[in-house]
Amino acid sequence: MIERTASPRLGCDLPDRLLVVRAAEGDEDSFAVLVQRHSRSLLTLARCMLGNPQDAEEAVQDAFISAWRHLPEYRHRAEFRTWMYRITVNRCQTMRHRRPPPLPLDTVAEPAAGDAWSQPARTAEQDAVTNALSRALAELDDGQRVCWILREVQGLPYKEIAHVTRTGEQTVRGRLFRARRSLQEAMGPWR
Amino acid sequence: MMTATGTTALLGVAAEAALAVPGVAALQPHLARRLAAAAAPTRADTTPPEAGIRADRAPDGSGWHIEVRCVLTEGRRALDIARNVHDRVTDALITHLATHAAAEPVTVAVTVTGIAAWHDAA
Amino acid sequence: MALDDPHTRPPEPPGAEGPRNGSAAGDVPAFAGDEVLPCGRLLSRVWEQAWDAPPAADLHPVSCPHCREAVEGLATVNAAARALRDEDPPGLHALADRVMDVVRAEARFGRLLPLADPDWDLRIAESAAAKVLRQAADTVPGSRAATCRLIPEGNGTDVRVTMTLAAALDRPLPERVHQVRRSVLHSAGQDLGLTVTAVDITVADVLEPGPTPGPRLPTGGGA
Repeated sequence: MIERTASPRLGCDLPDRLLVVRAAEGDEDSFAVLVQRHSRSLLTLARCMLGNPQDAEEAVQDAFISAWRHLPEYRHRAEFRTWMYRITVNRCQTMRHRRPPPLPLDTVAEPAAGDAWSQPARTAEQDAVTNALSRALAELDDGQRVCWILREVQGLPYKEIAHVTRTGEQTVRGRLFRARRSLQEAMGPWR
Repeated sequence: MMTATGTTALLGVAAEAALAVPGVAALQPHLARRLAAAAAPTRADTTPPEAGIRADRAPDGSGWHIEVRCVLTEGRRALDIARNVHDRVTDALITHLATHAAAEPVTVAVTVTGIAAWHDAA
Repeated sequence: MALDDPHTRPPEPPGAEGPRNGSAAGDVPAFAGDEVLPCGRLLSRVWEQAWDAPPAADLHPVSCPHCREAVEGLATVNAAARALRDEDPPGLHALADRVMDVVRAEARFGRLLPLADPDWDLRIAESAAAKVLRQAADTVPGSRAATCRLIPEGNGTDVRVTMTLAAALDRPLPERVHQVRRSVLHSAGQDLGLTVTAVDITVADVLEPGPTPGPRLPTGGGA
């Protein structure tokens, strides 16, 4: 079996739309560049949606493979990034509905030892705040959670969020507002 | 009728001959195995070299048709490598059949499924 | 909802589609649970203006204590959001490897093209040939291949190549296309051993100069 590295030649300087065209025709190296470019932000999105890194990795892996399989049908009406966000969000929502929620609703907001969100570089208090946020996120309505993550963590404009969620901008803004309200209340003790 | 062992031996002979040709990087894994790997990918998935070879009886029963699917390395003309694969595999199979069973006609088709860049080759 | 614009744009300022920005208490709240602050501003609009919109000429929220308190109320949440965004996912490299393992296992070959051999028993997958020919086009400065299709022609081993390019505009296009055609023909003969009858080239895109275009880094605020 060929040992393949992840570093294609001459591909790294191409914009997404050219890479997509090449990958749709079977050019795996072009797809590898797309994977490198987008996996970080998709993984962050999935971690926020699902609450644990293992599920997030599975969701993003499934999303990329689905994208590879459907690339020949992709019609370029949206940017590749938007398309990937949509696939990933859908995958995360499917996984959430199939599995029990990761935390019971009455969990006390304290960080457990070895919590999935902990990282050594942060202080214990930072960990606690982030953990509280991810618990609060888990309790949001699906649509509100997606809009909030895409806006606050991914930094997408309303219009792109609307494309990802297949709704209108007014709906996005309404959900975003309600998400902000709920999170503010849930994080009240942390101010 | 050839036994299963015989067919397996043919695949092995063809694989060995193909892989010995300069410029052949690997044989393309068999379709069924590729799909299985796709369904449950594991890092340690190793497929035998014979997986890139397909051996069929000729429709009228007289002889064998072999298809070799291979990935080449850069540096030589793909056509020349494919010709070498064709010739070497044909010779190896004819010799094998003549030695172990009755001599039979053999036709070999070669399909280049990929060309690996230098830095990609194992 | 049809997607008609491939380019992302910064969000419209809150005033663009609904009530005017910074309107008074007579404003109709657009969202359930919305709140009118003592200064008359809508809570949802204050928040949008603080984080989602480009800076507006409206200076009220800067000095108004009610607006400032409303914005401050989400400071912790937004700081935690930034922490989530900045976390380094540890499994990144392994994930990319796993994805590519599956992708390569599901390689799409395309049709099979005959190599230039009279016995017609030697073939090459379109995707394998296309990759080599794209690279030949890519080596021409100011040119990058997009699509590359190969089609058998006639009954023999003839093959026709159809390619689209992204090309820079710093030199005349016909000259560049000519160079690409020569490079592709040369590669088809030297590297592959295909009998190419024609190379149809269309410049379908502009190649922009400059550094690597990648995904936009997420920002906490608007635009």
